Amino acid sequence: MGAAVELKQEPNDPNCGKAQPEWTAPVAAYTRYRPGLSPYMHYWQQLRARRGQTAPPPDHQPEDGAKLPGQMAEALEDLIRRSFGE
Amino acid sequence: MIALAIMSAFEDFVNDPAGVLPDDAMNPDPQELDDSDLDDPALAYLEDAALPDPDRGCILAVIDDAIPFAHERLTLPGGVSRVAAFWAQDAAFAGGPGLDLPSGIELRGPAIGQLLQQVAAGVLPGEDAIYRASGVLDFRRDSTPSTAYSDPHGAAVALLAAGFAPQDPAGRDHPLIAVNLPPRITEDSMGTLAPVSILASILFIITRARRLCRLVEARRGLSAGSVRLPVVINLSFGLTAGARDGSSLLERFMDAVSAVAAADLGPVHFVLPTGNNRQSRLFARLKPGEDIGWRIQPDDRTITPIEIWGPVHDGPPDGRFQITVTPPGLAPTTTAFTAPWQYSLLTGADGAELGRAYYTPRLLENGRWREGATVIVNPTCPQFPGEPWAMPGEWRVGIAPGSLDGVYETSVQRDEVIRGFPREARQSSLHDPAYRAEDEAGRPILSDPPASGARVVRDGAFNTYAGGARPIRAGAVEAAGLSLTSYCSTLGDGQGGDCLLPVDRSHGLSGMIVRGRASGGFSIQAGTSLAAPQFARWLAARLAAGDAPADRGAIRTLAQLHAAQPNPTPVLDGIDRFLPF
Repeated sequence: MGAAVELKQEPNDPNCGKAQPEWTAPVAAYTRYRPGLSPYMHYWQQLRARRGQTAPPPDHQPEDGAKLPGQMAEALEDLIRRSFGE
Repeated sequence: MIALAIMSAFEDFVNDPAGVLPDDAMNPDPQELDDSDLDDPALAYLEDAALPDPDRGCILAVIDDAIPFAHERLTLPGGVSRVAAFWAQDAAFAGGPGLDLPSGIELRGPAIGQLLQQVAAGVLPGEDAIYRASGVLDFRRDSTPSTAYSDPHGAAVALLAAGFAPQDPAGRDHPLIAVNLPPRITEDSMGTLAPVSILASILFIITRARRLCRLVEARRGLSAGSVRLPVVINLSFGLTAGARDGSSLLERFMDAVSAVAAADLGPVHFVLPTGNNRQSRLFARLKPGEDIGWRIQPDDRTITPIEIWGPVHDGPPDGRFQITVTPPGLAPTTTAFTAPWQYSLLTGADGAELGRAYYTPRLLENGRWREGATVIVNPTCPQFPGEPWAMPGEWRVGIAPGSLDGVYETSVQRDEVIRGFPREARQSSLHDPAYRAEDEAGRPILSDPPASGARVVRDGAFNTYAGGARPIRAGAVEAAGLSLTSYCSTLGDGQGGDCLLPVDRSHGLSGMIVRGRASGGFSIQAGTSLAAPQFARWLAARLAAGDAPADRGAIRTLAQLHAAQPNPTPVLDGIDRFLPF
């Protein structure tokens, strides 16, 4: 008779035995809203920097992008002024 | 005066960090426009013979790829061009009239007319040579030469919207302002780089439309500001991931432009396609604690994104909204965002980067907030050795328990190969065992069965550029029975748009006959991209005839009066099309 095996996870857990991926600590992608910025643009800029095609975007603190949502309205007003203003 | 408006609006992108534009396309010394466009015939927007009637004119504008500005259907008798202004954003900068533009070249009617005259005189060997002589087409440059294609998207769209036989008197009252987006914008089906180029295109159209009105006044001796031509802008582009609530900058800008009552320009209307992805399984609705399968294909050299847009709420973001991602073969992991516009990298057990997530809540116009996040999975086949990659297979993405209660609209981003453009993209899709694509007979199921329990849904998966309150969304029906095509997206109310137009010949015969780049050329193409310019043409005709619908509802009501089938959504038919054969 063999030695008893201790189960460390529930056998019906679908993630039993699977490796655990991780998220890095969140940091701000941008500090100021500008027309055209997006997660896609941020990824693309980082990829191009990794390839040596452009300067890497600067590092930011986690809370540095907190004001971006409120800055979109300013960008919109600026575009309207440029379109119709004298 | 347009004080460097287009240039300075995008000052942060002048250095083009995304690499959209070839180096030789950049304008090294942007300058302000002056009034010489009213005095110098070479800088005029149209020859006098092509100026529209100040009371019956309506400007049509098209933003697209490879627009055939030299096509016969954009001329009047004698080779007089109806193209008031054409901006090739990525052409090599060569001076000329568009000195206020950040890049490329601008051609105006008289210059295009001169090129047409050179063809007529045998100085240029043919219509094709115009594109080369103008600098719009240059095979020596590192750019996809889509202008050389026989049947580009932009030819079909621009000529459906604004093509008139030269002898047709209506043509003169519909001058065209057109923008060729850079091929790198068009080939990127996920629209990564598109917003700046599209916003700049709209600014260009508005500024040139205003100047065209001033030119009409100057030539006819009318008082300043008295000519206010309306404008209909067709944008046959779209994405599949987004908030669909009109809250993006592009959507808000289009709404704002249409709401402005400018003193020196008529109303501006936008027309967009409803979208082609009703059956593509790119859209799901989730609640906190729920997730959905996300199938990512191998051999994808592009990133694979998905966007999640949550419920609207009053307070600012409080950190409750988090995303749970499960890579194939790995355990689930949940983000830990605490503030807007944060991002985190997703790493596997070996520390290798697999993807990333961004937290992008939006402050809406009414002061409320909407939660948002974007998950980006790395290419499954990296473009270059050593670059981060991710495993293909069935990923899962979900809303973490504890997130704000409500519905989270989850949309896979478009990620496919655009016809004619070299790009190794592979479209991902959602997988839900409760979703059935076909019935027992093999016919597609065209609407969401009630109480199916499926998280993947068809209704509401429309073009995410078209969520604003004012643009018209044009959907596609088949010409034989005027019923909605199987691919035409719906707006969330089951309707295929604000107005519908025939595109496919029947449910069995896809596509319609459209004009190609060369005068006399044609091809067969499909999609709601072709419904939009038909509607733009119709709307321009109504505005030219004196109708003045104030908003989308009024335009829809007007369409119902002229519709072949007015309800539940007006279907317009009989607009300038090739007859089927």
